[in-house]
Amino acid sequence: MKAVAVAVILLLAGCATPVPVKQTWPEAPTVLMEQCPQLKQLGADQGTLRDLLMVVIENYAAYYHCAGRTQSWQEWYRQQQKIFTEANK
Amino acid sequence: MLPITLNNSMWVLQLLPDAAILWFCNILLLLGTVITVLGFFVQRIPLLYQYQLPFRIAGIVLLTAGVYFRGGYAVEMTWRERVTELEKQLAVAEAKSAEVNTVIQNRVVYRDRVIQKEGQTLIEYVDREVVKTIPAQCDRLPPELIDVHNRAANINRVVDELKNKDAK
Repeated sequence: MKAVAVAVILLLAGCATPVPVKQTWPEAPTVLMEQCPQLKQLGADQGTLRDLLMVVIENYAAYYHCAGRTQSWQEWYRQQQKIFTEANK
Repeated sequence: MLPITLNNSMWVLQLLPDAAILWFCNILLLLGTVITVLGFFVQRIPLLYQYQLPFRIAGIVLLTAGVYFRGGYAVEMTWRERVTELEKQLAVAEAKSAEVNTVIQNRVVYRDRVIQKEGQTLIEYVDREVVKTIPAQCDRLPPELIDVHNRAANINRVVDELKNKDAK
């Protein structure tokens, strides 16, 4: 009985094999790796309403520039997750 | 401990050609079967009857090894098929991933260009039309207003200061 048990263990040991497949982490688009810019401030020589408007316009543009990247990161993540899930079905 | 040691030797199968492994396993299995069967009848053969026990032991050892390696080969082949299939799927996934990157990269670049152009249009509009409508007495901004604006634009500095404080 013991011999049979040992034989079964030995024979079943052949059924375990490691899988030599590596999945690489997907590279993100380079444009998404850029840091968000700092918002502009009014300088000492910029004391007019026009200067304020200019800085506000530039800052709003900077915000939407950065918000677009955040949205794109989310989109990138969703797409990559979908691809990963489909590949590992 | 023994099964683990034997199992670790299975990686050798990955280095050998399929046909060589199959031949080795089949020969081992056949040899084991033949010698095991012979072990039961060897006492009837005149010159070999004294080797009954060695025949039986050798037969069972070879048969066990044959079954073990034949099973290992079958599992190895199944895994190789799965690995090939998985590698194909991963290659497709990598291609799709690169495609997604290109689409997103182009979209971001286009969006940036539109935002920059719109900002420029607004700046030109301010210089062309809005500046004319600002009364002279309202043109100069009070220093307090500039200070508040700059503090608001630099509001993230508070977070950085807190982070530095926590790091200390």
